[in-house]
Amino acid sequence: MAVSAEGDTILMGKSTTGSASLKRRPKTRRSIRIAQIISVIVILGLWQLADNRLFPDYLISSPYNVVRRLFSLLSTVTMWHNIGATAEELALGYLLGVVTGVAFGVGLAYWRVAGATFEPLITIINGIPKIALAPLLLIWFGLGLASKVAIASMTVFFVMFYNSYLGVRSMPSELVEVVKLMGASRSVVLRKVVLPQISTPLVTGLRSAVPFAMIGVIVGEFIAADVGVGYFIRNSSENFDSASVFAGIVVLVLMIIVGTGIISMFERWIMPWRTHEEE
Amino acid sequence: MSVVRFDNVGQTYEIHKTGHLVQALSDVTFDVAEKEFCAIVGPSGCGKSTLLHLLAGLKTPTSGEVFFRSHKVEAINTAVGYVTQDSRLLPWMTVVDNIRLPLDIRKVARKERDKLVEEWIALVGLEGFESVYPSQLSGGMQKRCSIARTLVYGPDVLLMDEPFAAVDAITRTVLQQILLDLWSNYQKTVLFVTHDLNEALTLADRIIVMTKRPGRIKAQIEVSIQRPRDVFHVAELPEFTKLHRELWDVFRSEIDGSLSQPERGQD
Ligand SMILES: Nc1ncnc2c1ncn2[C@@H]1O[C@H](COP(=O)(O)OP(=O)(O)OP(=O)(O)O)[C@@H](O)[C@H]1O
Ligand SMILES: [Mg+2]
Repeated sequence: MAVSAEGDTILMGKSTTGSASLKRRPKTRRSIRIAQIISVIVILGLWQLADNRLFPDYLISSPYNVVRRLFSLLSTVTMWHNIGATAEELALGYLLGVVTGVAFGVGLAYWRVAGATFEPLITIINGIPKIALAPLLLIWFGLGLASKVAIASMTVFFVMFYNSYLGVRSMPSELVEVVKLMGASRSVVLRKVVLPQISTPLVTGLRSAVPFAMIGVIVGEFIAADVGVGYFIRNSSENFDSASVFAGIVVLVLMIIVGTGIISMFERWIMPWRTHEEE
Repeated sequence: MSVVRFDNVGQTYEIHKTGHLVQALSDVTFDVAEKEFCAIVGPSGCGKSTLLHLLAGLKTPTSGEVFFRSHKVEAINTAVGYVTQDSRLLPWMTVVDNIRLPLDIRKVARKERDKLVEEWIALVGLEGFESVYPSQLSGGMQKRCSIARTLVYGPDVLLMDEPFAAVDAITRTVLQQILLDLWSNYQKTVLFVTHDLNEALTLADRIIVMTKRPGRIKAQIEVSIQRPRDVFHVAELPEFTKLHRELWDVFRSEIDGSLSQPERGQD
């Protein structure tokens, strides 16, 4: 009782006004934000000025044209059709890659003999630039959805495999020991320690896998497809329509932002202690 | 009857990758009696934490045997409560959940459990931090949380590895008093590692002094200061001063060998 001495009251004061101590720096924060906005405006302005002065419009287009093109595209059914196709390939490829990658990663990490056997093989395969396998997957899975899903899930697989394999292998045993010393049963150890501990590297993998899935899908669509944002971009570039190329890239960026946002929400939901750490 | 017995225990570690061998303990033999408060002091790296690890069954000794209540320790020893040197809190649980965990594991009834948790949070001075995650606590607060987590379920043999090293002097004194009261009220056996000679004298019945690595037992000093002790004033007693000198002489001869003395002339 007496221990809750001065020291803590002070600390507590700090923690309740924690947001205030963050707000103490809004000046630098705000000036950084302003500098960011200005730099973006300057770059866009230079781009706008360079158009038709330094470079012809069909090469670089201009911010104004890109935005106009973006809005006109988004009012067409075809564009939404493309976006829908890409989103579907992305989601399926991502899910398939995550499930298989985690299953193999965790499985091989716990099953030492198999892990030791397959590790060199998987390292070699991982050394191949995965994109070089894309044409092969197109041969195997055809020109439609399946091949894009296959390419995306393959890139995601390796990200998730390595994250979960190394994550589980490098997990310290101290916390398991502590809980066992308290007399915990196997199931308590599993629920209270092992699963939360595994979830940390897994969720890190989940987040970094989103752009990888997108690369896989887009490459597939570049090589052979008749629908999708990647197909649209390639088609536009063949027509020297750089405004549409840029508009397509903007769409991809927005899709990645949405995807990563969904994963971050999921992360905050299953690991509330982590977001505290990072803030 | 002795609760704990170390019989010719030696521990050698193989350093990962280099294959280099480090001998941490050599020929350690001692007993700890039921209800004894036994302190272990020794220079850093002499194997004090290793001793507690062996007793908790987290390691098996390379030579010799460790007995707990006359059974050889061969698996994790769930009969001891172990406050490890690092806090080892579960990062995904709040302070209150961490402290509650051992009670849940032991299926303590809800009312009783909540009362105990609340009591211990107050005793270690963590009120107001119940729903905070360990990463948001200072090192000393984490340590206090880990002390509460072990003491809350009342194991009757306690292994404590420098539990109060990271907390300020006032808090430390208060926690020492709490520990002493707990020990005398509930008849506990305590193995207490510390590098603070005053702390060892204040708390213990007997102090085991270890040599530098490889750790052996250098001396055992009975602390004959009367009980109950008042941790706030015990250092003023003449026996304390005398024992402190005795202990320091033993301890210094150990340190002298390992550290060079640039200012010899001043002696
Ligand atoms: N897991 C390990 N692997 C290799 N060597 C180890 C390991 N644990 C301890 N050691 C070595 O054993 C020796 C004793 O370590 P231990 O942690 O028991 O010392 P200590 O007396 O508790 O020291 P301190 O007072 O600094 O905590 C040290 O030299 C250390 O390097
Ligand atoms: Mg130690």
